Amino acid sequence: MEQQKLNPNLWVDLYSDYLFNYSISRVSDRAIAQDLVQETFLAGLKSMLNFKGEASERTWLISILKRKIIDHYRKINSKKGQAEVRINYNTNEDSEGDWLEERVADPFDKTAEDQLMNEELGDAIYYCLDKLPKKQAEVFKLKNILGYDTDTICNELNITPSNLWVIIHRARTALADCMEEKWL
Amino acid sequence: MKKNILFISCDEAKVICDKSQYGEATLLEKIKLYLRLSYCHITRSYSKRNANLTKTIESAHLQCLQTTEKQKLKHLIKQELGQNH
Repeated sequence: MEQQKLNPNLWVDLYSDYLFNYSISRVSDRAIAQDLVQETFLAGLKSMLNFKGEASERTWLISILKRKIIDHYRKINSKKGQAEVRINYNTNEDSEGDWLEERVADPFDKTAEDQLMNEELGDAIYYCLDKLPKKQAEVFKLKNILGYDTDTICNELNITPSNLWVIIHRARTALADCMEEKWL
Repeated sequence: MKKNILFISCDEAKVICDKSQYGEATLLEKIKLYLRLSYCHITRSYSKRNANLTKTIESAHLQCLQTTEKQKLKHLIKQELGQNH
């Protein structure tokens, strides 16, 4: 097996979006997700010497991020102190017997399965995006994820609108091919 | 040629289909696309797959970092690397 090497100067370009999406889908807070990605990179830099080259750089960084996410949850839970479970049963006599209805699951609420499905889908899209040529992935992210308009992207990347649509077309076709089997 | 005003190639139709996924196709382009969709099964299947892709991507609620946020991270890594070496 080929020995993998670390190249921290490329980490942000290659992995930051994937790591950020991975973390925001698990902590649901933009600022915290950003901090976690930053901490992951810093921890990666500190433990570069421990990298054996058996896993890919990306897998290694994800494993650090996973630990950071667990640490984050541990920290916020310890801040809460001893967990208290309080159930305020309705003492109002008029609504006696209604307590069960108040506590049944809301069918319109997001379930754990939906959340898991979304995390997996997000990971799958990023996996496919990483296979695209850099320019295609960049344009696709600017257009689809950040929602920039065509003129802004053209100005930022110094390309013509027709050029942009060709890039978008190639990116969409490649993404659809990559995701077809499982997700489309 | 008059024919070219409304009748477009498959590739042109695909580009218009992409534009319409972002709400950026003009009315004339949409008419051209629908006309092509009525007789071209390749365009039809592309259009169906394209719409599915849009729906799937939207449902994932993807997020990514802004360019300025990436710059900050790059700067931080550079700084750390400078200190370590």
